[in-house]
Amino acid sequence: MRAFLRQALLAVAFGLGTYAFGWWAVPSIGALWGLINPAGRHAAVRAGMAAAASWAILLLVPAITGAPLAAFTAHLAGAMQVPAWALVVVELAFPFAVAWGAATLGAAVRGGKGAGSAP
Amino acid sequence: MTSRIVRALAGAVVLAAALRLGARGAGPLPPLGPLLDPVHGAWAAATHATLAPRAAVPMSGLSGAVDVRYDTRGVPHIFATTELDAYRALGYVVARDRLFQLDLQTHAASGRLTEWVGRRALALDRQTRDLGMPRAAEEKMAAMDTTGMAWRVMNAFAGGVNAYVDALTPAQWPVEYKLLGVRPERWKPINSIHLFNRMGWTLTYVPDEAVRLAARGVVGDSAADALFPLNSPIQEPIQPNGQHAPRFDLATLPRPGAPDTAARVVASLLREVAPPGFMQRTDPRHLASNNWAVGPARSADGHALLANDPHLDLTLPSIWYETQLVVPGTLDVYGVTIPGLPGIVLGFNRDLAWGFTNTGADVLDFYRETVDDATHPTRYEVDGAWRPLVQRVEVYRGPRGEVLATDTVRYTHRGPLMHRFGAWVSMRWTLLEPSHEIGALYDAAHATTARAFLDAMAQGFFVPAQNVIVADRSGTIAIRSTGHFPLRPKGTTGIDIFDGSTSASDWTGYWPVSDYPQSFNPAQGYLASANQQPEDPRHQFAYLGDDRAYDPWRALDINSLLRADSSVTVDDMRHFQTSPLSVRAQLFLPYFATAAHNVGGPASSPVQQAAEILARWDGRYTRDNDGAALFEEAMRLLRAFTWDELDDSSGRRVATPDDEIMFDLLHQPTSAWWDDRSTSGVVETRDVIVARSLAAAYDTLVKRDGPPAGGGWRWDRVATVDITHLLGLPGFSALGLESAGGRGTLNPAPGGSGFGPSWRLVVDLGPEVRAWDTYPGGQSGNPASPQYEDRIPQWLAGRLSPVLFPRDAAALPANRTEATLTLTPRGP
Repeated sequence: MRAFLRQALLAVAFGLGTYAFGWWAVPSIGALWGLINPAGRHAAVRAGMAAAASWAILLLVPAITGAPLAAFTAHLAGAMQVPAWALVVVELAFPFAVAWGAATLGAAVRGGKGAGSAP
Repeated sequence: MTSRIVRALAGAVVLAAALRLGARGAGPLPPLGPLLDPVHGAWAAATHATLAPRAAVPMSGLSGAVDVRYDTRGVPHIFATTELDAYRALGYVVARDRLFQLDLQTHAASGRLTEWVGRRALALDRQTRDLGMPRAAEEKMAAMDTTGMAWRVMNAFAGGVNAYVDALTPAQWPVEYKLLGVRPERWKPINSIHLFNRMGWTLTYVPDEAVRLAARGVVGDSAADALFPLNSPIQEPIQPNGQHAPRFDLATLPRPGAPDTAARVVASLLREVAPPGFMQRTDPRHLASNNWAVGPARSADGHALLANDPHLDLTLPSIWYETQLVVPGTLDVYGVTIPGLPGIVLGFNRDLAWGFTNTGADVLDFYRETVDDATHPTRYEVDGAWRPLVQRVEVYRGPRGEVLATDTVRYTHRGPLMHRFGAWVSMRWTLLEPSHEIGALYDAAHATTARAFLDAMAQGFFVPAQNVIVADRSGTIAIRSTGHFPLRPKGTTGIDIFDGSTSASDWTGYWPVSDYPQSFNPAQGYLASANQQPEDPRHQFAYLGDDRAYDPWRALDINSLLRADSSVTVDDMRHFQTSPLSVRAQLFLPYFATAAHNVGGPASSPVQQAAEILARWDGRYTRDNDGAALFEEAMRLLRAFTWDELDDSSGRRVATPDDEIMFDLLHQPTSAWWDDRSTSGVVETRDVIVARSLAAAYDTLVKRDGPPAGGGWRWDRVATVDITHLLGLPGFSALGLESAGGRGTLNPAPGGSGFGPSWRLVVDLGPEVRAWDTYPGGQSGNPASPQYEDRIPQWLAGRLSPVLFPRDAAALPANRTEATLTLTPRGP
């Protein structure tokens, strides 16, 4: 339960950070997470997952409240000439990679093992 | 220790790569971070897809509050207490809906696209600057009266755009900025002039000197001049000639003559000199339009009626933005503007309505110049004296401000100087000369009579020359081809290349307005223009342009419809705009039937099968007919088979005469032009070639689209319409739309093209002006908005929406009000 809460809080931190400061919050919070939690088990993967989850939630909330996200995804993917599913994958993979990389590096700087999990 | 280093390295590599992609992008990819950011990135377009029901915005420069009411079609009705406030609000609402379009068009019009997309746009930007367009905009701006209303309106409009831009957060930037990785720019008043210049460039017609010369190069002067005449052989001019019918000035075409090798050389030169946007246009007639007006005596309700549908490239967002400006007691005008122009371009006010079609006038000439240095000239010779060339350095910058290229563009007193094939050629073009279009539109919007409107336009609307039609509530209908038309040296036309070494080659001024093609309340009771020749050359010949600028078919269609209906209703006007009937097809079809009959053959032969299909076809380009596809293919092949004399020694077709000339030739069944040069010992006649075209067209369609019974020949499967996003992004475009109409019909929708009626307007000038309209797109430029392309189904179906034209904000029904925006003066 504590682990879940920590994960949720981390996702909230990524979400609030993105909301307030844009995408640069992701590497910043990821690195901070690695620095303060260097010995955490799978800390970097958890950071990546939290970042991806936070971005997913930031998209889902307006979609649920009426923004035409689903229709627009198809248009946007069409504009970028990729399938819609690929756009969604990239949308989640990007924050994951940034957060994982930053957390891994942060943990490594502190010398912890939290960076030990592959993405 | 080692694994720690490996982990650190792995993290660093992944992070570096992700940050690189996020911050800088890679190759064609824009920076992914700001693009994918779920709050501020591309997705924000969806979260800002609709207007807030109520908004209040403080704005500097306002003298009073401005009430903007958006109706349910997304049209902002602007209610202000001063005109400058109204135009300031116009800038704001246009930016709110179409910011990226404003910015993109301005970058294109000022030759600065490289600042967004780098070297990819260098050729386009060079073309714009080599033509002298940015310089001309600067000169027009510098020449403006800074105390005049046009100047103040431009500045107020800019203030409105910038009030919106300055308040934007990155999340609110239109999605295209994020896809390109660029940011919005503040608006400069000169941008409005750049845009007008761009529109002038789009609509400028250059006579096909190169085509005629190239034809001379293979069939000689006499034949070439007959195939590419100055005047259309089919006359039903804009200025009524009193004949109440089209006139066919058909003449025997001279035989192909001996090649004129000197003409061939000049044609090559001219093709090189002419900017690609002009002479390399495959079919200048694709830019066309219709407008017509019916006087009270011929309308069902006894009021004047007016219709307009300008035919342009169809884009998303549309070229047009619909709005109303109301200043009590001063201004009440409704219509469409081009985003970035501070005024209503086409529309109506409480007293009159107006519309444009392109005149197609020849307003651009070339001069072969004598210069002091063949590689780096600094002077040019006129009347035996050397004059200095004006030199302007053009610097092209990339997205990061880096210099991509630096050019020197030289100018004579005539215009920009270009160097091709060892020759220096300058260009004079009305677009590059002083003009006052913004002031003209401003003044015209206040006019209360048709004559006052046309006179206001004539005072300053010089380019692009337009056939301006107007109808007012008193019942007056009028049309005038308005623009600057050059007075050339006696005995010359614009199809010549002039000797630049003498001032005798120069224009001596412009036509007086009294000489413009025009008509007020003609006896026939209606007026119509569809890009046909403005004046009947038998009545008054003065060179305005040449035949290839003028398309007679739609003019024949609309005049025929208007002649036949002495009690025209608003709904008739709408039906005329979308009429699929083709007079062109009706004129040509009998020749296919005759040819098939004369050559004979079994009923199962392609020619007889094809003839049977065309016999069933009524010449209407409806969606479900299967004759139009066959007819168009047969016409294409008829041109290909007939004009083989115009192939050069390498087999390349140097020029193809227009269908009016083909129609002329059809009346000469044994003309030498029918002979197929590839056959020896036999001389083909008209019927042989026409039947051959028909049979080949049938075979082509069977091969491409299957047997005719299979449904593959249906017009809506063959001739779809594409409405393309300004950046060409397929996901933001509407592609493959099924439509009626075709080449030469009033509702032109040539297959597979992105061209057609960009707006349709019908106005009833009764005691209370009423109007109906639509355009293929929507008011919003945001692809996520429900009003991005919501009007397309209506446009495809040929329907119009009634326009709300309230006198004040309270008159707009609450159930037709989608959103309100209140702009209030910002305190000091």
